[in-house]
Amino acid sequence: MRALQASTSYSVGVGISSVALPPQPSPHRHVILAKVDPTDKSVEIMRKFSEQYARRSGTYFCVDKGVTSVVIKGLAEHKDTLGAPLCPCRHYDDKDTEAQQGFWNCPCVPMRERKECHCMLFLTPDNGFAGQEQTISSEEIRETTANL
Amino acid sequence: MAVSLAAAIPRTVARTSPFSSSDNSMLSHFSSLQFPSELRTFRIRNHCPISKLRLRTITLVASKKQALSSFDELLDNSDKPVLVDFYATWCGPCQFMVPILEQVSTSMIDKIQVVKIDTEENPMIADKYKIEALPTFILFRDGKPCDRFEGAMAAEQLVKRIETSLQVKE
Repeated sequence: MRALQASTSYSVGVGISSVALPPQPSPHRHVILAKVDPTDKSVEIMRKFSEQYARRSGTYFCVDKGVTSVVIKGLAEHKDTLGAPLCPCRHYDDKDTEAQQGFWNCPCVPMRERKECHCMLFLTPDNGFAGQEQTISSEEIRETTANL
Repeated sequence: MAVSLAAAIPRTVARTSPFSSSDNSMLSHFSSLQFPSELRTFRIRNHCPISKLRLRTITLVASKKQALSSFDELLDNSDKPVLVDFYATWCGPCQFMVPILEQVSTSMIDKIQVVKIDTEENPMIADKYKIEALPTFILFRDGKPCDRFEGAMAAEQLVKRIETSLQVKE
């Protein structure tokens, strides 16, 4: 279901110091935008992929496994909605086109060519945020993303 | 300025970090979606018949024209420089920065105002400022960008970067 990609309306995710709400209903059209969790199946696929790819590339997960978990879930969410694990740490004009084009599908070109992962998912040992692990359990993912 | 969201059920933008048990009282310093509390806690659950989606929260949205003009007004009316954090829910480094931003927002409360923009919900604002990598931070002074940087960092580094930028003579 592609309800998430509705392009006609956006929520006001803006901080404002004071708001005066009008008493009458708004004349503007409202559209419901839903926030959805990735499926367990996709999360498991991306979890296994992340472990394998970290091993293969000689990179390590972040000391804060919460970062790793959020990115894995972001990849899973894109896999569900777009059919490909598009990098969750980027803003795109057109996600469908990007997913088809492939540059930012995980593992993205910058990662494959230069081991550059700005998502902090795959970290080279010299990176200050790199931990010692190349594994992450489903439990860890569940626990660290319980609040999201 | 009235942001007409009469039936609005906003999702609070400043969410608790999954990585630390941050004290929610600090959120009062942290300019996020500050609608009256009776609206903030209201949530719709699972009214949608789409069986495959598990809906957590639903946000009624304003027209995109309003979101952009609200943001512009916020920048114009602010008496302090505004640090804007462009983020996305499933961006790891963005979530990493949540407690750090809360800390910096509190410690620099006299110097800056911190605002967070969800780029998935506000793509027009993100497009306007040509946001690509997340998180991107833009420091606005007198309504105009005066510094811009990307990526997660420690609180000390963030403070240093902001203070250095603010010292630059206009």
